[in-house]
Amino acid sequence: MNKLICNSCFNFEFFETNIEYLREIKVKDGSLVINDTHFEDWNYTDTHFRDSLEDIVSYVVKSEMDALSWNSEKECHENSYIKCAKCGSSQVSIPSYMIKKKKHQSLEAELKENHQEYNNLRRKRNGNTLPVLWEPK
Amino acid sequence: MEIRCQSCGNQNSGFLLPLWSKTTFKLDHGGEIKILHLSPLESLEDKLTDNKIKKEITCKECGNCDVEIVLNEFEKSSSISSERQAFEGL
Repeated sequence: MNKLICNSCFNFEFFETNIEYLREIKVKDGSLVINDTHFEDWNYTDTHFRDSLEDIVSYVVKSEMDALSWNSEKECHENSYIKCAKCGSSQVSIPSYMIKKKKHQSLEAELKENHQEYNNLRRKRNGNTLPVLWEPK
Repeated sequence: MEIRCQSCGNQNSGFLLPLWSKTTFKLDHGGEIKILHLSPLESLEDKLTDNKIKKEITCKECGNCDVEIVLNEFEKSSSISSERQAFEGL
């Protein structure tokens, strides 16, 4: 399932974002030396970068509209974090079919609506050994 | 050049600095992220010369941000010696 889509060119694979890349600096013989940072044998720069990228993508997918801001000049919603890598547009969002249309329904109405589905589940789980609650004489 | 942590005394080794970079990635159908390209948006040299680095650098040992950076450690001693020479001249 596609997580994100560009609403300009309909690309759903290639995107761009800005991430902080952690560097370790030290001074050796008066010169500045820049490297990846390690804790024992573990490359923290790599892990930090990958985790940050995953966090941004997850946030944009989960927050739905919160990651978008209204651009009054272009009159469209733009993603504050992720851009399309193909056309450079900021009109990146989750696919519309993923946006949940919240309908107002009471719990009782929902239980009634799903009653048959629950019965089917019980039938699958218990097979033919469903308890007989009432039998006509 | 010298870098010194004012909190734990760590000197010249193990200081962390984040640099903003632009990454291009691919989202697979399974939702897996593949990193394709990385290009820096900030240069360390610019940060150093603009003195922005002091606000962002942290000590790896203690995590403290109170770090002193001396770009030319000989500058102070040379100015003292030149002052001394000037006084001696007087």
